[in-house]
Amino acid sequence: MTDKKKKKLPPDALKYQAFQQQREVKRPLLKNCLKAFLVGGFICLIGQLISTFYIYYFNFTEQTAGNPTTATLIFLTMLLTGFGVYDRIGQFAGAGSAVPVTGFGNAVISAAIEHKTEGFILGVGGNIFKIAGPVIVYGVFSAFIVALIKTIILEWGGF
Amino acid sequence: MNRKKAIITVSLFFLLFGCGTDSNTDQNKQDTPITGSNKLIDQQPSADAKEMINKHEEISAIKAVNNSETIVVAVKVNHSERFTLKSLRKKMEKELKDSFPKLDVEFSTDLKIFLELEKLEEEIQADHFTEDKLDKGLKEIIKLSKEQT
Repeated sequence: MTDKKKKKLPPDALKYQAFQQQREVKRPLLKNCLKAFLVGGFICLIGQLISTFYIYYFNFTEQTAGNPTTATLIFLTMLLTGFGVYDRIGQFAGAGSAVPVTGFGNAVISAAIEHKTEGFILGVGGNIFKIAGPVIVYGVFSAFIVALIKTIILEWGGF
Repeated sequence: MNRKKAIITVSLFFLLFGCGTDSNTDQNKQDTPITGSNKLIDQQPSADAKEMINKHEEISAIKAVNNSETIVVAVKVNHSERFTLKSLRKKMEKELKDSFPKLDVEFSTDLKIFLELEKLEEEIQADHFTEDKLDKGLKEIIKLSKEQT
């Protein structure tokens, strides 16, 4: 809270704030970071293994193996979310499990599970992309803008 | 609490710096020089290219195959050098193009291209290998290397 706002508060509230700050359990920031780092890194390691698998056993290059790898990781997370395993990983690792692409799969399926009781169309159908929808829209839209800029520069910029 | 912090710091230290010492074990560069046991297809340009590129310390392995028009070269780059992959690629590609002005040079650092070339190199050694097969194989590899999505 900014100092300006603080000044307007009644003295009781200020007193309470000081009390609360004293009593509040501090977040173990470093520990959380370390957990997120390790689990996120582990997820990336699995992704690298899948990618290498696609390069060795299918007709994918390093360039093209990214797409099936992403799809596989998202699919695996969706399964894990359905079985209730990913929630526990998320509880433990926080951002480490949400930031990699696996967080996307989790966001889709957890929303679907959450709204299942409201029916399949208005519940699941209406809410499944509640969190992931903006991600898709932002992704597609920003990709479009970047591609547009690139095209303009390359085609008419004379490079 | 202090002890805990110290343990975390030390473990972080090991975690981050533990992997930094290797990387210069490039003594075992796997270059299988094509001696040209198959007289039908001259692989001398490939052998020359291998020798040339192998001088770079950033490379851990190299494969090259050529026919009368094209030469395809693929290398494995040491992991610590992959940060400068783009400039490395540029440098070596230019070097190859300067050395083989008559051939179409395709240079790649992609693992898949490396594996495919390795396969093709082995096939060339076989007696019943024909030039048509080589052309077809090289064409496929070049097509693969051009794929974007």
